[in-house]
Order: sequence, then C-alpha cells, then structure tokens
Amino acid sequence: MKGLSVTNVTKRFGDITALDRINLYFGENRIYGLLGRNGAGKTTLLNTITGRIFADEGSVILDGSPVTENESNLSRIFMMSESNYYPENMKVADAFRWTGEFYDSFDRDRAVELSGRFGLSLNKKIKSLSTGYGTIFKLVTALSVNVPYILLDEPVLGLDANHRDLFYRVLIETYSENPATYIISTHLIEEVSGIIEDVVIINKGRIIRNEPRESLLSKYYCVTGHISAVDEFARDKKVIASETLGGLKNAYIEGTPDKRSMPEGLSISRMDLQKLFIQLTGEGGNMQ
Amino acid sequence: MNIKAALKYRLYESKKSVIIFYLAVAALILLISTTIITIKTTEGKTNSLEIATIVFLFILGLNSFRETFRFFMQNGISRKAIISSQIMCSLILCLAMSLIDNIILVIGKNLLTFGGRLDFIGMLELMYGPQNSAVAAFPVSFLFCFSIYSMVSALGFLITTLYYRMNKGQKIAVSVGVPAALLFVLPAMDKYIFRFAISNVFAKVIRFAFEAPANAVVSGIVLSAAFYGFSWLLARKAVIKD
Repeated sequence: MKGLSVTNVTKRFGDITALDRINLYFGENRIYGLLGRNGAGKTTLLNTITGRIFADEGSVILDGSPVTENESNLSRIFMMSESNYYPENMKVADAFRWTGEFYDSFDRDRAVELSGRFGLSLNKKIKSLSTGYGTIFKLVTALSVNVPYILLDEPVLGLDANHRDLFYRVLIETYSENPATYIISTHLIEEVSGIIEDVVIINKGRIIRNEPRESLLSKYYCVTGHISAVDEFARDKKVIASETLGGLKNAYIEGTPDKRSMPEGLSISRMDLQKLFIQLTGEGGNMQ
Repeated sequence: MNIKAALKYRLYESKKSVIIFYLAVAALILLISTTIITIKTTEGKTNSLEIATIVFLFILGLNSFRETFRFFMQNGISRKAIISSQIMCSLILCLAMSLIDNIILVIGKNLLTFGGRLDFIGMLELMYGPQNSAVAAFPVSFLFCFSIYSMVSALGFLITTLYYRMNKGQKIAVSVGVPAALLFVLPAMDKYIFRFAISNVFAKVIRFAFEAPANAVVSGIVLSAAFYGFSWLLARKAVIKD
C-alpha cells in the first residue's frame, strides 16, 4: 500500500508510556498537522517514524516495506528536528553541501535562494546561529530536500512574526511546485490551521483525533449571544466549552446547527481549531 | 549509495587532522635534523614515530561516534552504514598512515643519518630487533603497523560507542570500576586467591599474540574485528540523544 503507516506503535521510557498503541496512516501529498500539548508524544512519534528511536512494539511501514534501517526508505523521509544534530563547527554552506551528498534530490540552488529570502548567512557556523536562525537553517534544508515525506518538528520555534509568515508562504509555494507529504508538529495551532488538510491530535501518547480538518471542524459550532439566550438554546445540547465576556456568551456545541430554528439574537460561527484542541486536550481529562 | 556518502564524509572529516598530524611530524623531524646539523656534537635517535600515530588514531577513534551518529541520523543514514563507513574509513586511514610512517622510516634510515649521528628506529625493530632482510622489512613493518593501528582505532571507536550507550550512572561505574578492577582488585585476587595464575595466563597469551611479527599482525586484525563486532552490537540499538 502506498503511504506511510504506523501500526500499533508503543514506546515506553521507564514507567512512562510515551506512545500507546498508535495507529496512523499518512497518505501521499497531503499536509498533516500533528498537534499535541508539551510531552504529548509528538517528537517521540516523529523520531520513531524516522527510526531514530526504536518502538517497543509495532511497526512503521513506507510503501509496503519497513522504514527502520532501510536505506531506500530512509532516503525518502526527512525530519527537521527541534534539536540541532549538525556538527558544531559546520558552516551553513557545508551543511547544504553534505545534505546534497546524502539526498540526491536536495536542491542546493533552492536552499541558497531561500537562505537569501530569510536572511540566513551561508558562511556562518551553525552553532553561532541564534535560536530563530537555527530554525531557519533547518527549515531551509527541509524545504529544499525534495523527498516524498517531510516531517517538521516545531518548525517555527524562535521565529519572529515576519519569518513565520514567510515560512508559511514558502511552505505553500514549495508544496504547490513539488507536492510531498508534510507532517507538521506544532504548538501554534491557530497559525497552522489554515495550511493543514488533516488533523492528528495526540494526547498523553494516544491519538484522540485523526481526520480531515474540515470534517473535524464541521462536527462542532459556536453560538454567540446573551447569556440567558445561549443557555436556553444549549440546554438540550452537548456543550464542550463556553466563555462569557460581559453580558455575552460563546458556547461551543457538538453537532450540526439547524440555522432555520435559531432563536433571534443568537449567531452561529465556525469552531476554530485551537479552541477545539484546548477542549480536547485540556485539564479534566480528554473529551473522547 | 549512502555508505559511499557516509565514507566520503568521514574521510573528509579526518583529512584535516591527518594533515595537521603529519605537518607536526615533519616539523619535529626538521627540528631534530636542524639541531644535529647546527650542533656538531649532537647525536640522536627517533624511536617509534609510530607510537605517535597510535595515539593519534586512538583519539580519532574516540571522536568518531557521537557527533557523526547524530549527523548521519539527521540525514537518513542507517546504523549499518554508520558502522560500515567507520570500518572502511579506519582501514583506509590505517593503510595510508602505515604506508606514510614506513616511508618516513625508510627515508630517515637512508637519507637522514648525518654520518651515523641520527638513527631512525621503527616500532617493529624496537620490539623484535633488526630484520634480516632490508627488502622484507618494509612489507612486514607495513603490515605490523597497519594491524596495530587498526586495533587501536577500533578500540577507540568501541570505547566511545560504549560510553554513548551508557547512562550517567553506568559511565561513572565503568570509569571508576574498570581502572579499579584492573589496578587493584584483579592484582590482589591474582596474588592472594589465584597464586599468580591469572598473570601467568595473561603473560602467556600476550607472549603468544606478539612473540613474532606475524603473530602480532594476526592478533591485531583479530582484535580489530572483535572490537568492531562489539561496536556493531552496541551501535545497532543506539538511539539519538539530545
């Protein structure tokens, strides 16, 4: 089967189960958002997919064959890590050169061009780069490598608003020119929600949601109005969260709204992904 | 494909250190020669230049895992390719450095004698005395150096791989425990419990392993293979650490 499959993957660190029987499928040429709170298991999952750490149970299969220790499959996946795994004394230009040696598809000219757009100096040593530019260096490499599966772990860590905006534009540009599967692990859900097509939410090592963004968001809606009117409307409905501001109240409700039967004074809006994420992964347990 | 690229990277990384090492050796020989030429009464011997190479290759081996492993993992290189490229790189360096050292020895013995006031003595000659045939001495010395170089390089790599796999507690235990066991516990047990049986067996093994150049060559190669074998057992389950 084409695609990247994670089957029954479990990973424990001592008493802690970082990944608990994870089952996922990443199709070709789609953009996935891997969302989860700190310590949810996002990086562990990505490290397991790329064979950097070993699963205690389960398997990771790419196009029908295992990924771990498989040269052919490893060369078709690139993971941009939150940590820096490049030699300390290596310069940016040298890192591009060596990435080109390891990945035939690496486009050095593209890397140089993107470096220029981000203002990344090619002659700087990687260890001397600031957190933001360290991230930019890794992003530029990932966006120039041209492999079918690109995993981005916290791709906007330390980036200012301008660079984050540029990154999202370059990502879309790269994806349009050279489609690939992107798995983006991030905390900045609001920013990434417009880009991702599929949402994978991981919480305490378990996948709690895995479906197209539109499908997920269409299952919920937000009702806004006077507190009493909202409460009356929501009385027989499943409210997953609510907030009040002055005399107004927002209620987040599971289900599909019937716009014809809406009482006067209430308005309906779309659920936003960040709000939903907070409710799904918030304290007080998971909403299943 | 990736083994080739990994080997290329390892050779590239070692190149600078090897060049600096031989520049230092050349500077040292130049200094000794200049001293002998300038001070007419001076006489000298250069014993076992190869010892410097052994120390160099051991340190190079010690520095061959952590950083490279992380970089290779970042670039989709398998653990198999990581170990294979290390073995190939080590063999190439050991062959090249053995050849260079023996050429330096031949040049020193024949061209830098300064009327018998400077004597170059190689490791082979130091351990086994002068060889009967000057023609045969070169290949024997070359193989002898190569096997010893390969052994220490593999030992350095094994130690660094072992330390990479261990946690902090294990590192402390091994760093303190192994020297303590070798320097105090084992000699004490040997003396008071085994009545020198351990040291006798050890001496016999060492004597057999190194009693002739051919034995030393075979021992060096066997130990290299064993060290790399253990390194592979450790590296095949190594995971990336932050």
